[in-house]
This record gives sequence, structure tokens and C-alpha cells, in this order.
Amino acid sequence: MPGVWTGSPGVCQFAVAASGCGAGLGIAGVAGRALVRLEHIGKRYDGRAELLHDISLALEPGDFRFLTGASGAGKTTLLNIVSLAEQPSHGTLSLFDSDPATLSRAARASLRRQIGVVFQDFRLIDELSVHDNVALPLRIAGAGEREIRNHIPELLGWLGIEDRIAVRPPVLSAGEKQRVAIARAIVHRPELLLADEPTGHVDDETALLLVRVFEQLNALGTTVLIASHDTAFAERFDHPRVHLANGVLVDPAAGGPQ
Amino acid sequence: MTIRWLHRPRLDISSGRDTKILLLCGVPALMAYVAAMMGIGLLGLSDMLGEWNRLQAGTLTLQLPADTSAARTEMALAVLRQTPGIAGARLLEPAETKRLLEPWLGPSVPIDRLPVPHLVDLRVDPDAAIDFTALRQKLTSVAPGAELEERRAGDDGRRADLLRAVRVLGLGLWLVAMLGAMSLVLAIWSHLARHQLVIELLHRLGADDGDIAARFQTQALLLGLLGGAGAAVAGALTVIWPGYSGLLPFADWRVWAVVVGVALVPGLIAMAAARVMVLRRLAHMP
Repeated sequence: MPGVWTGSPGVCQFAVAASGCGAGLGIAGVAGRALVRLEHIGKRYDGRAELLHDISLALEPGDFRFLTGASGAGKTTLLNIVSLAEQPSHGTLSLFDSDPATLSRAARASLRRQIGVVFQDFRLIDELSVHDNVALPLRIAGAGEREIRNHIPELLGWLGIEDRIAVRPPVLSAGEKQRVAIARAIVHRPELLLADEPTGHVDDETALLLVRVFEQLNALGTTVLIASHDTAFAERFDHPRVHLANGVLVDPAAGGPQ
Repeated sequence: MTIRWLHRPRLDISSGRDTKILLLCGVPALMAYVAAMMGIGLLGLSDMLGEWNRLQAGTLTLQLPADTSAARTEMALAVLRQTPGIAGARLLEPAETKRLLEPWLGPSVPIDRLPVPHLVDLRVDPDAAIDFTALRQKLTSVAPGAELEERRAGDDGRRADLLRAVRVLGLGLWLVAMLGAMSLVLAIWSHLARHQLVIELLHRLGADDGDIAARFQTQALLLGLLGGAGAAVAGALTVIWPGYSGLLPFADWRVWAVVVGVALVPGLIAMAAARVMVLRRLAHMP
């Protein structure tokens, strides 16, 4: 993957105009305060056992963490709660110093625009080209077409898939889809990046490169939380790790509850 | 003041390859065409019924025996003119009577030498309630042998048939319109069901509910307009087709109002249905 992507300083300006990015939500310059704070979060689906139990976790601005745990441990559910795709059954969530439960739908949509999500199943739209899939967050934020045209080839080049810009997802390999999904998640320089098994469909070498991409993004100021079932893979990096086992956060070192 | 739709984000998701939705919209388009034809037919039949009513209610004939004197004829005319509800009474000229009888008797028959009854043409207010029994008694008292013809009795059956046909056609039109609307709503529902993941994705990427709904309602509007336009063009071609013996002339503005309505209404129904369905789906997402 060539060079270092510097991101798009203009994107947030569009987001400000369209949605109140940053300052409007009180997320600019909140050093020392948690970007994400989960307090005693639990999640239970109708008639089933509790999937998440008493989860408390805080992410500071600029944090880079792995969330490990076996398949079915509740990692995706936890990411869904943080990305406002699901509501916790109990406990409180604070996001960018706001309580999403008290916000209007429009304000919650505005919060979502500050979050980049890499979905485990990619969720690319087959009818759209790679370019238009990646452009979605920018268009939602109200970015201009010229800005989008200038910006996306650079990002795809950074991820090594610039030659796939015009094709549609069905012809892409799983690894290429993964990179397109990552490009879409980071194209608008989110304040918070949540990645659900982002290395699950690529070889070991590419997985390392993708984590380097997240690290570069983190160096630009994005807080990163990567969920992975591969504990050994996460341990290869010098980043804090939290472990989820049977719906409970445990100390990765001690193996007991945190 | 900001005009919201000017600043809507472009959430273009092409449906150019989505042939299923085009096929699904073909059914409501066909129904729209049938509804248009039924609507035009209904207008034509209603016009016929109205004209029938007008003619039947407004036309009566009085026959006076051939030997009725001029004085008695004048008295009969006076009785008619004094009767409320009779707008006019005119004694036909012998030449007019001859013209009426000529088709039956032929031109060579000397009608003026035959005992042909005098005919009085009456114009009746269709809304007036005339006591014809009393009127007949008065007329026979001043002109014995006078016969007041009333064609209503013989024609009421045909009029009732026509009225029944109008009602059946109206009911059929209502059913076709309802089925067309339901099939259109079903087509939109099916389309949205296949795009459930897209709706959810746009929601998770932070798109506002209104923007997501706008993206799908615009597409539904275009699909509905496409189907409606197809039905309208087919309807217009049917109306102006040289061999078409329609109930209404194609220059009648109402024909074109039906055609334009058929072109527009499916689009509006599809747009409203898409908006309601998308917003309802989004309401289930936090």
C-alpha cells in the first residue's frame, strides 16, 4: 500500500454544515474526557439469556484498543450498541459527551455520522460501484461531488485497490470487499472507528497492513476499537486489549472479570 | 430560509438493473390502462344516460283527431300552456307532419287528403311533477279523442338497463382502481423488502430518516410515473385509434383529464406508499 493517507480535512466541514459535526456535539477538544463510556450495560433479547452483562468500558479520544472474544461472546452486539444500532437493555451509554437515549432521532443520526463502522459482513451495495459505495458517508454528510471525486481515488490507492474503483462488489474478492468496507468506514475521517473482524477475510500479511492503516488513522486522531476473535493476532500489537467472555468483560491478563 | 430538498444529500442507488420492479410495476400499469378505458366508458355511458333522461323527460306528443276544429285545437293548446311544467306547446305545420309520415307512407301518397291527426309537440320541464291523469281529462274534455302520448312507460326499462350498466361499470372501475393501487403498493413493498439492508445501512451511516425516505420515494415516484405514463399513452392511442368507435370524442377534455390522471396518480400513490413504508421500517431502528 503506497504512501500515507492524510485524510480529508475538508470532509468535516461538510459534516458541520449538514449535521453539526464536532463542535455542535461538544466533541471537539474534550481531551481527558471519555469519547465512549459504557456503564453497567446489559443486553437481553426477548425470551433469551442475557448476552451482555454489566459491561463498563471507557474509550478516551485517541485510544486504540482491541476487543477480543470467541465467536458468540457478544462483540458484535457491543459494537452495535456503541454505534447506536441497538439499544442496551439496561445501563447507560455516553457518546461524545451526549446521552443518545435523550437525543432526537436527527441528533442520533448526527452522532452516527461521527462513527465509522467496518461491518463483519461488509454490507456493500451491489448496485453501486466501489467508488459510490465508498462515497456514501460523504454524500450523507453533504460533501460536494468534486471533493468526493478528488478524495476517493487517493483513499483507495492508500488501501491498494485503486484499480477496482469502477467495478461493483459482486466481482470483488473477499479481501477486496474488506478493504472497500474499510475505505467506506474511514472516508469521512470519523472521530470513532469500530471495526468488527476487519481482518477476518484476508491473509496474515494483508491483515497486518490493514491494522497499520488503522494505526495511521489513529495517529490522525481517530479513536479505534477493533473486535477480533483472534486473540493471538491482537496480542501481536502493542495496543491495550479488552476481552469479552460469555457476555462479561474480563481482564485479558488475569482471565477474570475486570 | 433553507429549502430542505435543495440540500438533500445525493443517495443515488441505481435501480437500472432491477428488472423485477419494472415487471411488478407492469401489473398496476396494465390495471391503470384498464381503469382509464373503464373511466372513459363510464363518462360516455353517463353522458348517454343524461341525454336519454333529458330527451325522455322533455319530449311529449299530443295527438288530436283529424276532425278536431280549430277552436277546440286552440282550447287544447291553451290548456297545455296553462299547465305548470309544460314549457312549450306547438302545433306542427301540415308540412312538418307530412315530413314525419313520409318515411312510412311514401312520397306519392297525398297526405293532405288523408285524415291525419293534428300533432302538438310539447316541451316539458324534466324536474316538474305533472299530473298527467288530470291533464288527459282536461284535454279530452276540450278536444274529445285527444291522446297524450308518453314514451316513458316503454322506455323506462331501457333506461333502467342503462343506469344498471353505469352502476356496474362504476363498481368495476372502483374495483380495478383499488386492485391497481393495491398491486402498486405491493410492488413497492416488495421492492423495499429487497432493499431492507440498504435502508438499514443508510440509517447506520447516519443518514436522516427524511433523506432515506426521500431517496426511495423519489424512485417510487419515477417508477409510478413510468407505469402511469405507459398506461396513459396506451389509453391515448386507444382513444385516437382510427377504428375506435368510442363513447366519447377524443377532443372531449374529460378524456384527456382521465388520461393525465392515469399518468400521474400511480406515481403519487407509489411515492406516498414508499415514504410511509420506509419511515415505518426506520421507526423500528433506534
